[in-house]
Parts: sequence; structure tokens; C-alpha cells
Amino acid sequence: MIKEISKYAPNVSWDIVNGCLPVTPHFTSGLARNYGQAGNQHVIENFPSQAGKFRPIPELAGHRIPGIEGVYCTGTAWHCHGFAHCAQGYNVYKVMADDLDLKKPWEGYAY
Amino acid sequence: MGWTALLSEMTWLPYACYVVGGTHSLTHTAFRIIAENGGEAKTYSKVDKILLENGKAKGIRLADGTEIAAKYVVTSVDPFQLVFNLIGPEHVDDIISRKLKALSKDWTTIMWYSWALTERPRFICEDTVPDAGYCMALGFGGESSTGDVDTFINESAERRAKIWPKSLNGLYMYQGHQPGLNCNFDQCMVPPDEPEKNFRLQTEQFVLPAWKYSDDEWKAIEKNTPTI
Repeated sequence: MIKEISKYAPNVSWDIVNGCLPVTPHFTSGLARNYGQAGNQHVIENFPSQAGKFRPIPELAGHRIPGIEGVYCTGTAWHCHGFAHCAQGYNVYKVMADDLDLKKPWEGYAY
Repeated sequence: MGWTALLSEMTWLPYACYVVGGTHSLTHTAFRIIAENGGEAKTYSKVDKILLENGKAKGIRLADGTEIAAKYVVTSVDPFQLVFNLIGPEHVDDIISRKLKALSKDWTTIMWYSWALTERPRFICEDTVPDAGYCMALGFGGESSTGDVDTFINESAERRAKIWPKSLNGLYMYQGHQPGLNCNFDQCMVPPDEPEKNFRLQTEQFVLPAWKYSDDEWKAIEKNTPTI
């Protein structure tokens, strides 16, 4: 790793390393059951059939569960793709605001 | 998986922002809002089931048997726990269960390191692009930067064959703290004393799934890989 970085930044060597903390898939899978046995930080892969409006599957992509009222689901396995950001939570908030007739402070803005 | 992530990063990163104090600040603020409005937050309380009645949510049951009534339930667990454990497959259509079981979920397995450096990396490309040294995130091509794009194909094939990747293609670097510069990264994560001698760096690379190795083997990898 240090050797690879030093190709782009020659001053990087073990001489300037104070320490490092490794986080492996094994650590990630033990950290929370959400990551599954593989330690997949995106829970499911990000390829086209599992991204965007297909994520995780078309039936659950709307943050609701067909045939069940009052349960809303979100997380990194939902739209738009696997990553540690607020998009999935914001999406379910908008879905709930529609269903529960909540205030919609985003109206008038692009997002 | 590359192209969807790349497009997302290109459209999303320019608008990225960070919570001062780290993600703990966000959680703490949410907790205070809940508490100030009469709510309660429980930790170390495993949820056993989402309780349903006539196709409607009526609350949750904790692992210790406590039932909490609710009109609405919001979950952020993975879809497998949601359907197969919390709700129960008997409450959803068979096609949903089948599609969930068919999802690919074992290959976005990343190993990352948080590095503590005594000085910031000085990139060669800063000679022509001075801003490069002040980017929050940088993606290096590794061996593919020499023009051999087959290394990506080889790396993917190696991982699917459960072989540790021989080349280091997916190397991403996240930099923290640029002393004296208007960097958009959260400055409060850097020790206040001698900031020029405390530089934080995070690197990522794609590796094999956790189930490939035993606990002891992973411990050996954690210890030895940085020196390879």
C-alpha cells in the first residue's frame, strides 16, 4: 500500500507513518449483522440490476412493503446506491410525508 | 459495479458536506430532538419481530419479550433481516422472498486503513495541478494507470475465484486536514497540537469476502498486509 501511494506521492514512506488501523471485511461482518457474512459495506452489490429504482428489488424500492401498511424500510440496500450518506433516509422521509400528509419543506426546491 | 458508483460520485460529490464533529454529532442531535419531544431511545435492545395485525403494523417486540405499540415502524436493517426475520416470509409474496435470495451480496468487500502520518502526501501531479493535493478524495488507477485496463478484469476474476487480488487497482484515498488551507474536510478531527505533524489518511481496496478466511487468518492479514 505504501509502495503504491509513493508512486504518486514520493514523500510517503514508512518514515512518516505514525500508525495505521486496518478494517477488514471480517471486522465489518462482526461489527453488525447488517453487513452479512461477507462484510459487504453496501449490504448488496451496486451493479445496474441492483441500483437505483431496482434497489434492492423493484417490489421494495418504494420504501414500502407490498401488502403491509405502516412499515417503512430504508438503508444502504435501498435507492440510490450503497454508500454511507443520507439519501436513503431522505427518500423514505419523503415517502412517509406523502403517506402521512406531513409538511413538505423541500417543495419549491430542486430536491 | 464501477460505472454506477462513478456516475453517482460525479454528480453527488460536488454537493457533499460533513457534520462538524463527525457522525456522532448527528446521532446526538437526533437523540436530543427525540428526548425533548417526549421520546425515548433504547440501545442494546434487539428487535425480535415487527408486530402485524390484519396487514398493518401495530408495533415491535424486543428480544426480551417487551412489546412496544406503534402505528408506524421505520427500519434501516438489511432487506434479508427485514423480510425473513422481523416480518416473516409468510407475510410477503413468494416472489419477494425468491428475489431477495437471488440478490448478489458478497463482493463489495473492502478493506480500508486509517493512517496517521507526520506530513501530508506531496503528489507529483501537484506540479501541474496544484489543487490535487487539497482534494478530499482521490482515486488511483494502480496498475491500470499504465493503460492496461485488463487489470480490472483480472482483479474481478481473481476475487470471484477466491484469490487475493495480485494488483492494487481500486485504491482510493481520503485525506484529512490541510493546515492553513480552506479544506472542506472536518478540521475538528485533527489533534489541536502541532497540526502540521498530524495528518489523517484513509485508503480503500477491494479484497475477498469475510467468509473466505478464518478468524486467525484475518488477524494475520490485518497485521501483515500494510507491510506488503
